[in-house]
Parts: sequence; structure tokens; C-alpha cells
Amino acid sequence: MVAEVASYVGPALAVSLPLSLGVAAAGAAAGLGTVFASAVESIARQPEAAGKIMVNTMIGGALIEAMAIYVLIMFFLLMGRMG
Amino acid sequence: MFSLAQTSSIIIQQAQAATEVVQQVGEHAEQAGHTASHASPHAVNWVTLLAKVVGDTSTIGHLLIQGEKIIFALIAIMLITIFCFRVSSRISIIPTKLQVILESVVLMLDGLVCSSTGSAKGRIYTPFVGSLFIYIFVSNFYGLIPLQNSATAYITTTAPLALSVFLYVQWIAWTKNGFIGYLDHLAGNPRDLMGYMLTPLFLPIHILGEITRPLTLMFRLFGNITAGHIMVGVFLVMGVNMLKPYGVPMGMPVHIPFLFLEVLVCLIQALVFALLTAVYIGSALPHDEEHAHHHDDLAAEQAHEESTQG
Repeated sequence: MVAEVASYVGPALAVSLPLSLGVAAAGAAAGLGTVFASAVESIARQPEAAGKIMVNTMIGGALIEAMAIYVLIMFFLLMGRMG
Repeated sequence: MFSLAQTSSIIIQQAQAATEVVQQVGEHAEQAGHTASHASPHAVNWVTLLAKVVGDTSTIGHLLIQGEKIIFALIAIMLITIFCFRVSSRISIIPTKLQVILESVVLMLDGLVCSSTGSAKGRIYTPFVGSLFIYIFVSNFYGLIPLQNSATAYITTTAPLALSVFLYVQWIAWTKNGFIGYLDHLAGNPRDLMGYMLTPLFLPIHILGEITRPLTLMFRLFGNITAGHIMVGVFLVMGVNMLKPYGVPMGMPVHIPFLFLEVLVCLIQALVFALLTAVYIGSALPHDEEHAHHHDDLAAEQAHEESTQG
């Protein structure tokens, strides 16, 4: 009985890990879309501040991207146990 | 030959002992990662190739495999040192091209730190933040060269960097604010009775936040660089196998656009690490009543500079 239950870990991971990565990527994409939309809008309002705006945009983008990267790290850590 | 291996092993052991505690954590994560990474492509570099040539189980081979990340970290440090020594030994009023590059990098970092920590008093922290940026950028960038690897692609490098940032920020908060000020800063600066009553709730949350910051710094840098290397590796494998069905014994270099993306990621991750360090330092400094002073200082400084240059 215990062996039967234990053998479900592999297939369960194989279903949930790519799904979680997809959800994380969707969340990161939504956040990045918001950031860059407001960045483009503020550049359109004041084109001479484009340098400063782009620097702050890139920093915010990296911070948001890091969230999806955390999920990717978890994926790499658990990848060997997928059935 | 024997004494060279011995002295180099002693040096490497000392360098490893200096980061032992953090390395244990890193090695647990790495072992889990290595058992998991049989399916993901593992790019070879000249150190692993040399280890294979010499023999995996011999002394030198074992040394090379263990000291791979240290070798690449040392290479990055050597590159920075040679470049900076060469440029700074020939400073002239009319700058050469290399001097212009170095000066613009230093000025950018100086502006970054001074704007994050407030007035020009924050200039003391420019060496630390600037060194972080330059080291992380050079180390990231070096991994993109064929047959090389970056030291920051491993937790064993990013964890000590994040730990040093954490300890430095806590030390700044301790010494600049005094011990009572440090506790006050951790408790969120309570001013009235409501603030003091909320302190037992606020203190653990703030401490947890302070501990999480270096963790996120570490994982962000490690994850970005490692994910980039794996992506380039996947496209390398795909490019090598692309023309196999047609029997052509050559591969297509389809990984080149991703190398350019990786260059951008290297720069942005180094910048984010340095900027977040500067922001954390700025938040640890005493900042309540000095906002007006900071604005006056900056304006007065700029006016002074313009009057001396004009």
C-alpha cells in the first residue's frame, strides 16, 4: 500500500511543476505588462525624462522577473524526481 | 609539481573555509540541483575539460573539479585588477579611451549611490556598492565567452555576496543609529502609544523582512544567470542536432540571439543587485528629519559645482 502511494509522486510532479511554472510566467507577464505600459505612457508625457524612466523600468522589470525565476529554481531542484 | 599541488590545495582549502557555513547551504541546494539536472544540458568549460584530460579521480582532477568556481571567480577578479591598475597608473588631464570608460562607470555608480542614500554623505558607500556591481557584471559576462563559466551562476558565490550585504547593512543601522536607534528602526519607529502597542506585532515582521532581503538578492542573481546558461545550452544542443536528419556533420549557431539577451540580463542583474544594496543602505541610515537637509545639500552642491566649473 505504501509503495503504491509513493509512486504517485513522480506523475504528480510531472503535472504540477510545468503548470506552476506556467502560472508564474503568466503572473510575471501580467505585472511586466503593467510596468511597461505605465513606462511608455510616462515617456509619452515627458520625452526628455526617458533615460531616468527607462532605468527605473528595467529595475522594476528585473524585480518582477525574479518572482518567476524563483519558481524556475524550484523546478530545477525537483526536476530529477519527476516520473 | 607535488609542492605546487600542495600549496594550491592549501590556498583553495583556505578560500573554501572562509565561506564554509554558507557553502554548506549552497551545496545542499546544488546537490539537489545536480541530481535534478541530468536532463538539462551542462555546458563544459576548460576546467572540466582539463579535469577530464587529467583524470577525474586523480589529485589534480579532483582539485580542478572542486575549485572550478573559485578559479572563475579569481579570473574575474584578475581581469578587473589588471584593467584598473593599467588605467589608473596613467591618469592624465586629457583622458584616454580606457580612462573615459572607467570614469563614466565610476560616475554612474556614484550617482546611483548618492541618489539612493540621500546627500553626498552617501559617497562613503560608493566603493562597496561599486565593487559589487563591477564584480558581478564582470563575473556574469565572463560566463558567456565560449568554454568559460561564471562564478555567480552558483549559490556558493551569490550567497556570500548577499550575506556581506546583509551584515554591512545591519552594521550601518547599528552604528549610525546607536543601539536604541537600531531597535527603534527594527520596530518601525514607533512614536505614539499606538505605535508602541503594535511593536510586538511589527518587530517579527520587520526582522523577517530584513532576513528575506539578502535571500531574494541571492536567488535572483543565481536564478537569472543559471537560467540563462541553461537556455543557451538548450539552444546549443538544438543547433548541433539540427542538421542531423540530413546527414550534414555541422551545426547551426542558433544560440547567438540568446547570447545577446544574456548580455542584457547580466548588466541588468548586476545593476539591480547594486541598486538594491544602495536602497537598503539608504533605508538603514537615519532618515527621518534629514529629508529637507538632503534636498538642500544636493541643490547647494550642484550650485557650488556649477560656480566652480563656470
